[in-house]
Amino acid sequence: MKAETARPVAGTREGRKRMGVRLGAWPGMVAWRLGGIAVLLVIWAALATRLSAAQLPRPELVWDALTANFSSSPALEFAGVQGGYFSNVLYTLTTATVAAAVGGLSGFAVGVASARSQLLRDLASPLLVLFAAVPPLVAGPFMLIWFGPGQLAQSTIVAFFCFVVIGVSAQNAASSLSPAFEEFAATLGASRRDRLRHIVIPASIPPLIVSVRLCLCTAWSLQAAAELLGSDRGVGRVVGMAQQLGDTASTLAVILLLGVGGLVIETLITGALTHATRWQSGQRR
Amino acid sequence: MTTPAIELRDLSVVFNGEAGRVQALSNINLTIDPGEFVVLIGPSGQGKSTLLNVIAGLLKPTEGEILAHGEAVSGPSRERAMVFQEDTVFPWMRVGANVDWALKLRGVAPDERKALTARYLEEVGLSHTAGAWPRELSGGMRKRVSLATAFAADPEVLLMDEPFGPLDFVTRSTLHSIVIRLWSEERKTIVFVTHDVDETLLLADRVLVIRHGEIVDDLRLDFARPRTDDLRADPDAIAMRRRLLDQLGVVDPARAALAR
Repeated sequence: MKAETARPVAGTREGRKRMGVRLGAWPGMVAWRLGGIAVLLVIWAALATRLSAAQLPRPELVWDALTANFSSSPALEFAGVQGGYFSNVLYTLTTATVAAAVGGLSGFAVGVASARSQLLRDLASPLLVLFAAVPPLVAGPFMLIWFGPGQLAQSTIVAFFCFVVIGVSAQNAASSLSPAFEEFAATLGASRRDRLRHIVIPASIPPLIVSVRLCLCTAWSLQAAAELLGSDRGVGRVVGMAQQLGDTASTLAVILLLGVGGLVIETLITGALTHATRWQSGQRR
Repeated sequence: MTTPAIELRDLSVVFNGEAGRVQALSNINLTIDPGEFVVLIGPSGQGKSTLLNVIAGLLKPTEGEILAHGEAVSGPSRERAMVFQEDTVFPWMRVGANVDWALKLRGVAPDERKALTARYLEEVGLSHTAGAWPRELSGGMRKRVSLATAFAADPEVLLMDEPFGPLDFVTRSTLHSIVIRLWSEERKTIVFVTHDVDETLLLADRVLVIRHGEIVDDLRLDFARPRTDDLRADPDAIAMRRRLLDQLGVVDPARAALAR
């Protein structure tokens, strides 16, 4: 059989290289992702026929709860929560994303700096390991005691988690960079600052993409969990209320809205990171 | 009197490793004149790369002094650019951007940089790859990018640490021609580390043989340039080849048999 053009075999380096440079792949990617959601809906609908609405409501009941409470909700208003599901999900996502960015960028700075200085490494490494061993939800009650049940406590929990995850990853990424790159740059006249900006930082970003995705997804869960512990708004507050009323459809509606919003933000951020690291071969989305 | 490009005075390097104290270089005294093409040759692990790293300013000697154009060397500098055996083309910069960055570090104005980048890439036969990512190039092509980048830095001295070691014969020959052409045009001082005798005969004005951290022989090579593979048939070159092989401890089986 004769092929029109050479095609790389999937899974090989050539195949992965091709995946990394293909620019027209977005429509296909979106179609596959929608396909995944469709499969989930079919499984959900099938399971819902065998369970009660309190255990697992049918997709259309959840859709009804979502549309009825999207921009405003009498039940939420009664409990003193402003807005509908959309504004509460937006609050959770933006608060968590900003906190993740602050924690992640601080972690990146500390991780890279500690990879380049023995003194900083000796100082930071035990702290990063110690912090990594503390479950964020165990730290949560302390944050509430220290900062009260507000945005600061929620953001601190999220930022703390992202600081540790990105800090450890950045330290590993910057430490594993071949010294030859920096030595070559030094003999071209690059200062320490030039080398940090043009070599260490760009080389450290690709290994961090997985950690960034992990941080974002966990940030939203942590934010919602922190809101459950104590908050006057957000997904956690809405879910807590719905559970008290035994309204499983509303609980699922707001969780799904959070998932969809999270998917959009995650796609945008990792898309931007993937574009910034397109120099690599064989990168996966 | 011309100021030497490189001057080493009573230079020693000692490493304290897990295996104990290792004397990597011992009491080296050396003067390299501007424009010389010096090859450091010797068996592996005898101090060639250490000496080059010291000259580059990447390694501080235990004792002694290094002068570059009369000034004490205290660290790496653009005046002593180095081409490594490892691939050091920055993969996150496009090929043209690699060369451009060396020009930017040199302080060349942005409007001049574009023309100079094009010129250096043309010198190494890679004009068509300016917009490519390094991963799209072969190993030999990436080595040419390293050369273009190093020459773009316009150093007084170019240090090359077994730069073509892992490459095939044809690619190495092409790179030898490029280095010789650039050296002839720009008259940089080049200090080139290798353990390949044929590469030495093809490139060097002067050969320094290093064994056990000491310079044990300092030879001048006056073969006419351009040198080609025909040099292998020249009786003087054959004699020099034998001498270098002896210095490297390589025993020619045919000669050993005759000696018996």
